[in-house]
Amino acid sequence: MSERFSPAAAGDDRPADLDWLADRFVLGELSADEEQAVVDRLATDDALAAAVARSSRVIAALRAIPPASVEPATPASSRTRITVAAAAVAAALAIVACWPWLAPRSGPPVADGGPREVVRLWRQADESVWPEEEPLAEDDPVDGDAVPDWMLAAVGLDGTSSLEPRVQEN
Amino acid sequence: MTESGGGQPDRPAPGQPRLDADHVQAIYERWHTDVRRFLTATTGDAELAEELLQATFSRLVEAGHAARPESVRGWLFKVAHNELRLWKRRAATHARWLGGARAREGAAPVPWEEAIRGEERALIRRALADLPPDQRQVVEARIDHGKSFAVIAAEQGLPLGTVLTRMRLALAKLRRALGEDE
Repeated sequence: MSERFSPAAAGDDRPADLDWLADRFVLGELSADEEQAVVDRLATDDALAAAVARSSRVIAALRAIPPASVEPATPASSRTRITVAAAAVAAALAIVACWPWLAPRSGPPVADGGPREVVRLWRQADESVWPEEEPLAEDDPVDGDAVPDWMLAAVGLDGTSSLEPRVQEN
Repeated sequence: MTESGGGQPDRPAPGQPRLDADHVQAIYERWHTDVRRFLTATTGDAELAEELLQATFSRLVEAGHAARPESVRGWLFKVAHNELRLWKRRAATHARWLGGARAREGAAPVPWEEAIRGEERALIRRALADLPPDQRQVVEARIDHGKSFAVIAAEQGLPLGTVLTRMRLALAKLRRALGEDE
């Protein structure tokens, strides 16, 4: 042991020195002579006995921790940054993975049931967007069943055809 | 307190009164935790520490009257240390007799959890995690791997004094974490 101390001297140690002496005694790091000197002091030096008790508590607790069970502490700020970044990455990945189901449909659903079906679906959509508790003003020049021009044009109903199903004439 | 050559307190002379049971009980209740920790820390073996604790308090019954009341704890540490020495001597003899087999091999270990309170473990674990990495490495090498400071110094390419200083600083911080600062 390279550090100097005087295990045989009773009562002239600073508390920090006494603790370090006790640490090395409990760890078994003293030479045989040094160890014997500490043992000889113990029965009469209560300060040394107290230091040995303190050291024993720390070292026994250290021995009770399974090796490699201690994770080095991370500063709180960087821990928070890591958590936020991880959450953002996870959310981004989830959105990308679910995009086919989450992507908004463009325009109301179009069915294959012909012009009548299109108008029916439009009315349904219109009712869901404009609930009944908001009645239209009487002077609104509105046709309650109004279908936008773009939709009529899209399905070929822009005045060139009837809403009634066509009857094939033979 | 008087001692025999082996470092153990003398047995009482015939007719010399021993400590009464109440006195022994009071000393046990006051100091057995400290002595158990000392033995646990020095042996690294909770079951062995329990055996040596019993042997120590048996010695108290036999010879505790010789201890000064104000120094009973130190006297118990001394006796416990001597019991540990005796055990090591017996274990070494036994191991030689068995061809190197460790006398206690095969015995069911006492879980550390029972020997050390959970709260204490949590405190020390947190304090250990907060240590600077260079200090924590020295503590782990010494406590977990049982390496001597000289070996740690050689492995890390550091002067022995640096390793000792790191251990000293680390233990001082851990002591504070357990509320054991002087």
